[in-house]
Amino acid sequence: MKGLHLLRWSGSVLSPRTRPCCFIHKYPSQYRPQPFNILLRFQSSAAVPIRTISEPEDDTEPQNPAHYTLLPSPPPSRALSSARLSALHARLVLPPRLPLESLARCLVDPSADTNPNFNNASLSILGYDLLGYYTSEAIVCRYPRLPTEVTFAAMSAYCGSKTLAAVTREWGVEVAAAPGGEVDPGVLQCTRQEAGNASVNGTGTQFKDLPKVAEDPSTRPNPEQQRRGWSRGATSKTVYDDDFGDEIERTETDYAERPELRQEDAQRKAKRGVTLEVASAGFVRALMGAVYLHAGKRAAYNFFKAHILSRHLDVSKLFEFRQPTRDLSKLCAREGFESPVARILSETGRKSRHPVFVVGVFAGKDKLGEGSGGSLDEARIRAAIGALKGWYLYSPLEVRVPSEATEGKPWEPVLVDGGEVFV
Amino acid sequence: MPISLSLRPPSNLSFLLPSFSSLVPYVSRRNESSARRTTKRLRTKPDPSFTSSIPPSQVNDHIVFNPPSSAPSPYHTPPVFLPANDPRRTLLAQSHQHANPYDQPDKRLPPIVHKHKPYEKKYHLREKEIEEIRRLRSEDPYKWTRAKLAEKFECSQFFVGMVAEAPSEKKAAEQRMIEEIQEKWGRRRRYAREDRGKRRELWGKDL
Repeated sequence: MKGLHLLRWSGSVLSPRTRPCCFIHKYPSQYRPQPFNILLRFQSSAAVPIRTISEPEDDTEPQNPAHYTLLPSPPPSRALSSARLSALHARLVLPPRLPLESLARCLVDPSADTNPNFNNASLSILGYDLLGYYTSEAIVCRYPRLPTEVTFAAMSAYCGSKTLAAVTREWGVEVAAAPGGEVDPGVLQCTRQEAGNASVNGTGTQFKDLPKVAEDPSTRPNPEQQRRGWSRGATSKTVYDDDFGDEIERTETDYAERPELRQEDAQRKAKRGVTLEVASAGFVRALMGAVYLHAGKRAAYNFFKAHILSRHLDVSKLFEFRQPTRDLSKLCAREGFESPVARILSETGRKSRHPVFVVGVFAGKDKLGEGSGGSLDEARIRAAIGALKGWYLYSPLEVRVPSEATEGKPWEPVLVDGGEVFV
Repeated sequence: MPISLSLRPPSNLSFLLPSFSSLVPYVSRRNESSARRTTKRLRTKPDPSFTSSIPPSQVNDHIVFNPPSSAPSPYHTPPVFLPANDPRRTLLAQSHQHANPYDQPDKRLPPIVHKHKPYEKKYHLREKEIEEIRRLRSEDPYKWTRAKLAEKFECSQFFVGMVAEAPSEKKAAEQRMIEEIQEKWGRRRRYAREDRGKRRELWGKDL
């Protein structure tokens, strides 16, 4: 695998705004009655194909500050004068290659500005994929035997929407009450969704009681059966669903076949608004994508390590077993160990109100796990859980992830074994 | 002198008042005669693991590692679960400290929790016997229960349930019977049963 020299070809992908000459984007007059026909706006960073628009003569912005209110989001030229943006850039120790204008663009949610040249949709798709890639390789290489469901749970604990929303709060990013061109570009711009218990247009009905709009078609082959609770096994989640085991509404293939769908979806979302959690997650993902595009892979990985992977997660707390003793005996049969036997290691107060038993699970003469509890059954089950966790949480001594494989040493494959226990 | 006596504060004359000492709880005080007895009680010896193996010349020059007893960490993989190429396998095999104590011939394994030992599966039932089980079960499911059939054919009850499931009428009737019993439960028993179920769920989450 050879490293891509991003910066060599990024000129065509990255924002033209980062170089001195800007050009004007013709803004469609769809928002409000406008005092002049063509509203001048400056091209922000554009990962989408650049439209062929005649280059402007000079780099100007609206003379009258009142014209800012006509824009759905603050113009990129105002990013340089925002104290909040500079402070955020410095606080996160972002690479100097990342310009303030791109950071400002990361803060514009598609619900605030539907124009893909000015919102963070494209960056956040890239950032989503990067975060998913780095997180999944970190989890899978570190704990190669982890069950699928636990992997999904760990994925969403590291880079799910809830976590990224918490990260946004921890970074000190505030949310604009309503998006607009006059708002400081250093705050998160998004149209908030109506609360579920808000009344619809002053009537008595609440938003949560409204009949749901027909949602997007599912990517699963048999949506009927799935509504009845079928075919949502862990294995099918790896095939059909997203990084966190949740259902995908529309896939990139759908968008590739009908590109106008993306714009439609963005507009629909803008109408309905988004939750704060979704907008915050979109911001962090977009920032990840922007760091990758502007500063390269190494900087992106460092950013990921500093802000996502450094968060503490106790993977052993993510497990839930229904029949651990049965699972353990299946595991021992599969791996060729002797069948597990529970043995009392120590006990106290058997005839008292609060006895404590310490039970170990043994395969032959080897102790697999140990657990304690107030009854023999509890101690036995906890010991079986301890043994299963000991199996699933195996971690190799030297962990190398595939993204490090390009740097010098050849790649050695990680452990692949029988996988989780199926009964 | 009479004048100096009158200047004495009345609080000093408490011995003239009736005694309240019987109302004050008795607190043991250390005094000269009892000091040896009471300080001896405080003099406890340190745990042998702190001192035993250390020569007196190095007493002030070592690290004491004596962690309190606690549940083992789930991140500690038992040696049998390590893959064949893991370096920890050979390291643990060479170590005396982490050697399996039950490998020694004179060391006996601790007692089993349940008295019945894990049985050996016999795999002795053929197609004919299985047909017989199914026939008996369908003829009279109330007489030929899982336990009876398991006893007759010398297999496990689980196996009987696997090859010959009870007819749905019998299952429904049993379910009805259980519900009738549960309806007679009072509040305390019902709550106790529910709490027991919840506690059991917590075991599975290891909480």
